[in-house]
Amino acid sequence: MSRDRLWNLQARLAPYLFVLPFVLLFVVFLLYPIWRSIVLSFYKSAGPRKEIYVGLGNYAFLLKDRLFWLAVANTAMFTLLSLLIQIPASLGLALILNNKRVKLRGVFRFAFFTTHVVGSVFLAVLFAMLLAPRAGLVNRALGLFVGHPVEVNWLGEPNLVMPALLLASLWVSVGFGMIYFLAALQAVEKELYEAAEVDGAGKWAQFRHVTLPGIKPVMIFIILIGTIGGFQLFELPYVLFQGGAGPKQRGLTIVMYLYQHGFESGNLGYAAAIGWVLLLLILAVAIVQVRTMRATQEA
Amino acid sequence: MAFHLGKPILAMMIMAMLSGAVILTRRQQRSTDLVVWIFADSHAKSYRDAVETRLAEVAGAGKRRLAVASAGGFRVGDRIEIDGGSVSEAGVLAWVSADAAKPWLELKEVLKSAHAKEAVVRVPSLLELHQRQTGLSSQINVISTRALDVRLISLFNSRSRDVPDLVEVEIGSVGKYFRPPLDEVGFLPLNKFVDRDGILDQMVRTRFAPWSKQGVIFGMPHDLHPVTITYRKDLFDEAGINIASAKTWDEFQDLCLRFQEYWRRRGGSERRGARYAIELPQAASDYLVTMLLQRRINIIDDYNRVHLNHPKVADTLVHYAQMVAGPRRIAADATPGGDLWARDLARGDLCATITPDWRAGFLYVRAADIAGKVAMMPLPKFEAEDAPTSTWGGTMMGIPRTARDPEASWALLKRLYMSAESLNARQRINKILPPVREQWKDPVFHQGDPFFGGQKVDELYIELAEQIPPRYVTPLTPVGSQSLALVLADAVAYVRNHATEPREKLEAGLRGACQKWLDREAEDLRKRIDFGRFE
Amino acid sequence: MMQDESEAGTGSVGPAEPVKFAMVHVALVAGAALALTPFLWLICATVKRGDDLFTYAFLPWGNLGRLTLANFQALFKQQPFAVWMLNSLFLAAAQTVLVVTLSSLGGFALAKYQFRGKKLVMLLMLGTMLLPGQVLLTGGYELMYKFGWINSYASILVPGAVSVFGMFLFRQAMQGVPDELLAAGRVDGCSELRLWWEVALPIVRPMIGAFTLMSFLASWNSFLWPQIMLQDEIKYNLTMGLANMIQLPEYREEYGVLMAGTLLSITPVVILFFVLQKDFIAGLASGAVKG
Repeated sequence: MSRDRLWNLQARLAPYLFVLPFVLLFVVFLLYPIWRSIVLSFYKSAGPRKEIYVGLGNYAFLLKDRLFWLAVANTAMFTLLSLLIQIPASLGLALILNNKRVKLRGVFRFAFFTTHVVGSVFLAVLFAMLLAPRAGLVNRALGLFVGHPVEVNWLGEPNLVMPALLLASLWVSVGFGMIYFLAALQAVEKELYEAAEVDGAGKWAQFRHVTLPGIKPVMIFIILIGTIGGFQLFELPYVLFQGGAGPKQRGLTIVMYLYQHGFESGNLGYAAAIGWVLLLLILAVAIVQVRTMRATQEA
Repeated sequence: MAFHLGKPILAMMIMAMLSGAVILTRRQQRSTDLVVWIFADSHAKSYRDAVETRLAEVAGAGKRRLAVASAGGFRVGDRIEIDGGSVSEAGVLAWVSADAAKPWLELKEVLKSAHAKEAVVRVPSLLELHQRQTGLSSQINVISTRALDVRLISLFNSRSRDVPDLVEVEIGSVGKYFRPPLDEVGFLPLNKFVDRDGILDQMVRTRFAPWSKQGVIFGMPHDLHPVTITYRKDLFDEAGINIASAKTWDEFQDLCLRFQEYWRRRGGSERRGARYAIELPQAASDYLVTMLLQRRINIIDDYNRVHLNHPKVADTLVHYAQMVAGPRRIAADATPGGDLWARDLARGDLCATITPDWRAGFLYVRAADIAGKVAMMPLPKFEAEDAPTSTWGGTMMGIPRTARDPEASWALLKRLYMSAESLNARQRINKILPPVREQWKDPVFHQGDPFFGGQKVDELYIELAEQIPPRYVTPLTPVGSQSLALVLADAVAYVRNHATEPREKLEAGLRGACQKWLDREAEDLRKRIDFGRFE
Repeated sequence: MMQDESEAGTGSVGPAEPVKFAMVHVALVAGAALALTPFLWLICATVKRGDDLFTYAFLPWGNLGRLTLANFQALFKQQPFAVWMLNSLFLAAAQTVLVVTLSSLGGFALAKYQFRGKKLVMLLMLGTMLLPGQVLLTGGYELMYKFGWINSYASILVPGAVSVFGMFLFRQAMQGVPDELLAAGRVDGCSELRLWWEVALPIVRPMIGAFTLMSFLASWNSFLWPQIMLQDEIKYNLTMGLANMIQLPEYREEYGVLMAGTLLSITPVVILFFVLQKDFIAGLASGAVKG
């Protein structure tokens, strides 16, 4: 009966058909561009129509490119500081909110997490106003704190660029980390705590030996996401500094440098090379992080 | 059947379909014949805005005077139209009253017919005029500089024909368009148009320099931006110093030191407890670049040759660094943020500043309280062959190479930049000197300016405009400026550290050090230029 | 089932004494204030006129009559803000529908079927998961140029329909669909597609909600790729429009209009988040904790 055969046919073909759209799009719009951008990185170009082969020339120049290394320094510093502050803050918040005795947990959770929906561009526009020297909320608050009006030029002073970026970025990322840690905390089995308490372990010891190992996968996840995200920093400084890199180029990030070369100057080849070095950097840092986490686990 | 992807997805599908329908039916083609991309709203206004008002009383035939609801925006020389619905008439304005209570306009010739009260009096915009005379409609898109650059580069690189018909580009961004070889630059070479219409003689030639590469002109200059020094004449007079007599920067510095000494003894300003003679930043290189241009030095010229380590640069640094630091300091930074330098000038914390025409314009608005107390002088020189002025900032208008009808683009460009009406259109918005010599004859440039104590500042600008040095812009010019700023920072630190040394020793040491630093920076620049070279 | 009232053993910082209790709450309130104050300021900023933005931190309490909607009016008059909003809505909605559908389909296949090439697909996916999007920018730009899709929405929607992360999330979630149900369905003669639609999807509804929000957010907030692809002002989305506005000198003084634009841009996603938050948190939890 052909109906049966039809049914059998579709039962067999179904998985292939289900993944087919994905695979097609994946190959065309992910794999192929990856391949092309590797190839492009060996050319210097003025747009997609004019290319000259330079072999490893782009990479060689990149290694000596002072501006690139400034971007790397800025980006790495941002990522490091951001993680150093975000992780304890998120974890702390999650620990507090995990306690059933705290009132209005749902409300607080919503409050802290809502910031996450604000996209980088909107975040930057908002904080450009909040950080304004005269009327900005941040300076007003500081002024209340110290007792007299302050006019800190957050976006004009080279040394204040990093704090400004961190402030804006952490406002969003702390809530994000908190949610993940909350979920992780709630997944730690209660029996482990009971067992530890029976063994006579105090609060702090419980934290170290039950909680921390329990949330380790999520911790690694957050650190990885935070690292990748930090290294990809672009929209926030781009919009905050109105398309520029800020005073003394302190807001120059790797992706911004890529964008400037690829899409403001038209040198797609150099931009591609920057992209690949970015990937290598992220990989290197990620590997170091995962190895360290594993090592501390043994210890 | 239930929708198992969930209500949110269902809602989104509906939203997508509805909004998609609206978007699809959106008009895809351009709605006008010509499209112009502009980055500055003030420029857009001057091209696009008409001026309009209503008659406040009947205007009789044979009369010249029109009583209007408001005379704001009208200028002498405007060709106005009076439209009562059925009768319309045109005339040129000979006078515009400044009386806000009873505004009126006076025509050069008498009215041919009477016009009812409430008839509309207007000056059509440049775009409107163009449409009437050529039948081509135009629209202006205001796009911020960076976004404009990204789009334009992308369009140029893909040889798209979707380009605008005219684009205004700022001097800070134009360098990147010169990156490809000459025949691939995204803008259309204008030499043929310029030669055909004899424009070179109508304008100051050196002003084509920033917009050209190796002799090929890619854009028409919007302005000249000659540079002067505006100073607080009242404060200098009180100190008994005739600063305008300084012909060299050394003389200028000496006079300023005496000026500061006088006010130090008298008691200076609240801000720093000391009154500085002139605004010069310690960390930014713009003003330094302005001075280098005076000496006819471009950090990179249009053949991509690097002059950053020319001996004159080190020499200029030696002068500049001692002006902003050390025992012979005469300058300080302005308060950061927008146009706050004007407030510094008004308070007398800084008593002089470098003013191209566009910058001087801010004073009327921001420093209205010192009206009548300021005056202008040309720049002092370093050496006799220097120019007494420089240039700072600028805008050009260019035609993309793949534009649909370059002749039509050129015709609109001429109307916007060089027509008789264009001068008044500009003057409504700001007082920037146009590059067309013919337009300098307009009486508006030959009046004493009460803000400057009656001085005819526009005549000064005109006189200096003829002597503007050529300024070139290349893809790496911004990087070069940053390199210069780095060396400046080091030079300033050197002056601070060696402040107690006798002047000759300090200068000799500083000169040597600067030359070394500049050599290093120039080397980096040359490597970048070689790396980016396409020829 | 046992009500565990004791503080100890829940892996939390638990205040037992009233003083600590109060302190913890004060800290929480302070933290929440830090988190929410910018929003509050934003709302206030949109209704203040001109210079009041500088004089009053939040609202002009003395003169509430000075509040005005002029900023919103100016926003819509001076800029094609409504158009940008429509564009963002369309792009985000369309992309979300596409990517959720494809990811749930693909995730279902990866979770519940064995087929040739499955290992290869998963390996490739894993390999590209950690890839920063920026390595795709240059190659992708070139590809779009070749397709002639520069300046068209296709350049955003078509590549945007593929999400490796989404596939993994759904694979994870689909593993929770009991095989017995599927087998029973097949016995009844259901096609595989119907099984996906009627059996699997209802079970993974929380993940659908979570991923819907994630995708919508990602598309609504996206900037870099649209900025590179879209040329005509009439095609901009909200992020591009606002980024353009903040660079125009006119708005350096007129904060109010910029803030009105920002508020209107954030509000839709906040609402969506409010609606989907339970699903979102549940989905995150299942995804991350196991991942």
